[in-house]
Amino acid sequence: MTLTINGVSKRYGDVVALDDVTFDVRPGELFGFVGSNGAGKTTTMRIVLGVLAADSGEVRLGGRPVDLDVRRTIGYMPEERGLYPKMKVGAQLSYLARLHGLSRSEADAAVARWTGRLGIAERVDDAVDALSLGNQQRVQLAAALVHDPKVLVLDEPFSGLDPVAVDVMSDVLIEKAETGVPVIFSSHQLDLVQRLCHRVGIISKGTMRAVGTVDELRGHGAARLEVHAPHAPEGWAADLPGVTTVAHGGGRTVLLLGKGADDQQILRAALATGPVHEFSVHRPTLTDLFREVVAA
Amino acid sequence: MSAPLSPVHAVALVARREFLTQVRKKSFLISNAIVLLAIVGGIVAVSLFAGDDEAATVGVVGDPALGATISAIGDATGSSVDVSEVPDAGDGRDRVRDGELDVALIPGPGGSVTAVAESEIDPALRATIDTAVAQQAQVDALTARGVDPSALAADTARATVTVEALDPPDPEQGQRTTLAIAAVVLLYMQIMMFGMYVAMGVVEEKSSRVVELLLSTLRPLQLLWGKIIGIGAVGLLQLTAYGVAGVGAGLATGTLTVTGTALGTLAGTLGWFVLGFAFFAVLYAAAGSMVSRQEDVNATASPLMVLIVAMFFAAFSSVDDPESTWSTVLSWIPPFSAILMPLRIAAGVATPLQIVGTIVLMLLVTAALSVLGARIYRRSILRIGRVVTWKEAVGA
Repeated sequence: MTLTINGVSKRYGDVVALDDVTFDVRPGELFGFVGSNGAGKTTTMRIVLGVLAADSGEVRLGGRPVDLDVRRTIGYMPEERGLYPKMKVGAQLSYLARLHGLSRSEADAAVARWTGRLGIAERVDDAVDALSLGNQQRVQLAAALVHDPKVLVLDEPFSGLDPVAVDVMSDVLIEKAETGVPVIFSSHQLDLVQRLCHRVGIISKGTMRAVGTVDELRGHGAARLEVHAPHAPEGWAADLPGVTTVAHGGGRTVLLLGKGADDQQILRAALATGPVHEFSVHRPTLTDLFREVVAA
Repeated sequence: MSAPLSPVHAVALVARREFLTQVRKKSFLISNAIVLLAIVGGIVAVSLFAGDDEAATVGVVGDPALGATISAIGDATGSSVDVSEVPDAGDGRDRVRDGELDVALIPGPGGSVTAVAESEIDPALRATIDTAVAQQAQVDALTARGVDPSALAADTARATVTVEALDPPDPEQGQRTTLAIAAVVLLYMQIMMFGMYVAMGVVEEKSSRVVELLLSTLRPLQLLWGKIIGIGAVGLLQLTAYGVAGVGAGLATGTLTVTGTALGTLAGTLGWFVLGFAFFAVLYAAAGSMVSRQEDVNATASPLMVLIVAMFFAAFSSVDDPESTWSTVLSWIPPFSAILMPLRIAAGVATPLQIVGTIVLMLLVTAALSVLGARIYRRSILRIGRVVTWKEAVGA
């Protein structure tokens, strides 16, 4: 089932938090939701979960408007982590599972399965606040997964995780997506998003600025060309069409390739100055794109 | 696999968690064990001390007729006297000294009697002895003059006084007052304590941020009512335990003899706890939702505290005279009815019409408040940060 966010807007007084936000997360897809702090990621996710009401627009799952019954099929990890600090891990997860409609026996089985999978099985009888921060994060993830959700919405799931936990989290997300579940998560770790996600949405100041596969987005951005030609004088590429010189020094020149740029023409111009030791095209990384979008 | 959850089931799940969390607390179990022991122990102790007015013991040296007269007069005046024979004056003095006898009577010449006591004689016992000695002397004198004392007694038997009381005293008055005070104190403590538990529970969910996870699967009202019902059930259970222990111990030890009134007061107190708690719990939940940290709760809960204390004072002032006009008027007004009505039921001055009428009124006001409280709760529960004031919370 596809999770569709369609024309969602939200204002707080005069402040526009979200302006006509539209995108979808398809079945089996890992969707990375990136943006600066305060760009609207958490607000969007809260609206998906019905914790906040949108001023306009709607959220649908498989074509059906997301009401309370549909929301119970979503696995949610809020940005503000929260569990009952004094409640035992097992009892707490079982309670949350039952709030999502599982029977007692189903809930207990699910708790056993996920605490085992996430390596916290031996802590089920401990109060949450007796656990290390890392283990509390695992309990939080278990809380999002314990009712076998049909959609996963995770707000900053990787923040505060140690490298081992990052791998566990990545594996679990990939695994869930492979079962056909749409997974959306927000993150500031853009290299991670680039590596994991099939598609990415970039939001800035409440507006979706770009949505697409990582390759599509990178293809749209201006490519960079790095040339190592030790004898090339300053401004050797200035007259070439569509080319902007970004940096020059130590025999190395970084060029930004715009419309009409021809890499073979540039190579010839470089060779005309003497030997060329290196000539490489760099696609922009997600981080580059993100900086570009946010600066715009 | 998640499945739809009916609203009733959702509320029941929340209530169950609240109930179990509360009753499994070690502090809850220990404090209740102590309170229950104190209630039963206190009543047993009272019954032991009250049992002190057992029959006075009087020893009579060698005059069976005087002994019989003392017994008869004691029975007639309702202060029974346990009369025994003592062989001689010395033995009588010893027994008084040992505390075995309250008084030893040593007849002297001409109908005079010496009463030996430890320090002084209880006035009632003194009166009984005086009357018996005088009567005995009279009988002896009449017999000596040839009058048959039993014939004289038969002739004067009908010369008695019958009391016609215009406003007879209620022999149960003392017990009723005790029951009323107990009901007021218990209600006051329970409503205040469990109301505060609701507020603390709401703040705990808010400060630990678990509320966002809960609200993604529950409506705010389901969470609110689940919490109130769960915590209220614990309060009701605790109050029932206290009440049953108190009334049970009272009836078993004979400290309480007004069985009907005691049970009526117990039932009334439990019923009014439910109403009074519901009234305040919604407001306490709203108060809790307005703050983000436990230590700020008092800022928003203090107006409720003031109201409860005012109720308590009103109730205490009317224990003496529950039929006064202001007490009657106030007992109709929610939430004062929650604490004044059980008191009036205990005092035996509540009419069935008033009981039903005040319950209906209380239900109506509680329903209206719950709408307001739920609105505040819904509006404030996700506002993390500074304390929301009542004015902001109630306003648009």
